[in-house]
Amino acid sequence: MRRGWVVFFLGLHIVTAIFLLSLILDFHFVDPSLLNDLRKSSDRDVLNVAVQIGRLDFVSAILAMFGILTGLAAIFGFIEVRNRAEDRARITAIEIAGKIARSEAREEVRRSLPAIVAREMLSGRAKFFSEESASDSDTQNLMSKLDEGGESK
Amino acid sequence: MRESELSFVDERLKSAPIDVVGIIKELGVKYEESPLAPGVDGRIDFDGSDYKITVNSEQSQQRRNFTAAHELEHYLLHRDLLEERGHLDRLFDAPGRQGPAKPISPSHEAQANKLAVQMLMPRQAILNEMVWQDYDLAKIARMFVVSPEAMEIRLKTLGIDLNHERSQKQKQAVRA
Repeated sequence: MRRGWVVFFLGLHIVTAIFLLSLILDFHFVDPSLLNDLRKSSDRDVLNVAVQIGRLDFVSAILAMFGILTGLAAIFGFIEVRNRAEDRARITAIEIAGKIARSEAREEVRRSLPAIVAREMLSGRAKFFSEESASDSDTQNLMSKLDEGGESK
Repeated sequence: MRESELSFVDERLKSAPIDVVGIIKELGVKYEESPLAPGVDGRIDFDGSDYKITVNSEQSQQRRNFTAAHELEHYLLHRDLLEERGHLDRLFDAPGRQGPAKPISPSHEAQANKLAVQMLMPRQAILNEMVWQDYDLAKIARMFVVSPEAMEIRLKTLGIDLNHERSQKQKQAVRA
């Protein structure tokens, strides 16, 4: 992950922690007037009490926040996983490409070098097979008369 | 691949008859004779791993041998220039009118022709064989599977005079 993102998330976490702390310290979880009304009421089942003092709203808000956080985590998680996968793929590709390039270069040298060396030898003073060098016209003349006299196929 | 292909080939050129097809096969190159388009004498192909020489089966034995030797020279000297589409040769019909496909150049073709001649009729093999064949041009030519006319040209380029060689031999025999 980039250093900038690390710093950003660190800051975000600190702000969040301060926010939550202040919320817990100052928040009136139950309004005292609501509680008094409830005590006076005869209909006091659990659901009714939860609705009256606002507990269900609180649960809804927490669930909503949890959903939002999960969504954000999914987005940033996806980006992070993608970046790591790309980095890993790049490193692996470089390693494999290097190996293949070396192997291919070796194979190409094995294939081509003898021919190149032989050709260069022939173009210079060194010779093989035999020491003479017929002219092009002699060679063409000889080729034209290779099967003169009509040997069968 | 052999450690030294050229040495191997050189060893196989010491005595007649020269088995060009045998040399090709022993070098691990595939060889085939089959009908090719009119005017086409042979071709050499590379499929990325193997080489294959194809010679026109419609030609005479002498021309087939020469074409095989020519393609073998391409393999020995120019195989780094052969691409996967292969290389096609028109050796005997209207030579020079149409240049070879790049990257093979006319000088490469001339080089392959010259060495094919040297391969079919090597100097040392001729020197050995002319003694065994009693300095008879026709017999020597038959041993190398070429026409007497072609052998005559070859002897001329090598500076070998059969009559002179015969008389020298006879003189030595008389002395002995």
